[in-house]
Amino acid sequence: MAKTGMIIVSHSEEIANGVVKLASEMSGDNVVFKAAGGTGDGRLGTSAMTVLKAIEELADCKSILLYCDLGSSVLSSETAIDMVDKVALKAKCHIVDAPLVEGAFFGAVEAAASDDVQKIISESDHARNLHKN
Amino acid sequence: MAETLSKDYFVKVIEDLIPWIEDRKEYFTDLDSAIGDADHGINLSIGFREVASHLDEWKDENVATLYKNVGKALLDKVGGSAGPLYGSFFMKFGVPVKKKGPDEGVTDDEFVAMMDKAIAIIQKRGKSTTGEKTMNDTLMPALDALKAAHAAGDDIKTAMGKAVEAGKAGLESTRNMVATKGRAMRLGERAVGHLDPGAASTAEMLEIFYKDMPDA
Repeated sequence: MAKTGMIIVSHSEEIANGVVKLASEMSGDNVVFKAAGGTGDGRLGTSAMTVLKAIEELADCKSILLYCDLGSSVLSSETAIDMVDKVALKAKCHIVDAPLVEGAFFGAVEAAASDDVQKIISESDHARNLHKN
Repeated sequence: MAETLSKDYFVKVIEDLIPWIEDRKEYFTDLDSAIGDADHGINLSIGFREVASHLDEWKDENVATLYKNVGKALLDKVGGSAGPLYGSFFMKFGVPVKKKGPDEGVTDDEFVAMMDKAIAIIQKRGKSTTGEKTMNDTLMPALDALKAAHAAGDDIKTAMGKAVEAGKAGLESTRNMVATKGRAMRLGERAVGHLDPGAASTAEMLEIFYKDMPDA
């Protein structure tokens, strides 16, 4: 089974690292995670260059799924994907329309068992139906 | 057609943007504290400090590469939505003249094409148009005015002057808008009465592009 790449894009470095830690417990060796959180100098924010570097590091994965929190995390992710020069690598990238923590967690569980990108995205999407009361 | 805007002009614009954002960062942040997360000015100033620290090594590149490097620094360091928006503006600005040599300037036609490319990416990136209390309320009327004046035969400085005026009118129009994009959309009617910080900063940025142009 081919590996799936997952990038956790958050304004907070701690959130990105924490989601990687949480979701990677579920996925074994089949998912390669990259945290792309914060501005690199301790402030809250996102960086398209950090996301781009993560995409390039995951170039060997079959697909690359990006999970984002708010506002500029989506803008930075879209900008990073636009900046990918290689057409094949760009085509591997998908911004997942799902809640960050729950979506990445559900996606990681699916990706542990399957490298079918549509199945992983669909599982991540189901995370929005996780009711809490 | 003659190259009316020299390479030095494009370097000077960047050199002037650096102290400008330091001077104005508190004003933009104050605007942002009314309707956003109070970081617009501060974030941009951190991005331009990164630009300042590299400008000497970049300014011997051609216009397209110089502006691409500026854009990348802003993408990397700004942090908020202004990062991808301003960053993409500068990355795309030089694309129409990317084949030029390091000392070459640009023609009036090329400058209009550059502004067109840079402003188009902001619309695309923000999935936004006018009337949504964003920087597009400044940039789109400014671009329309620039194109119209250029098409009518104005020299580039006159045309850019009209663009700046149209941009300022667009900025003023954001005061009475309800926001439908970004964090301000959560405020609904409470955003009314405040200028949009992105519209305000881009209006002043365009003015620097104008003021640095040599008289025709």
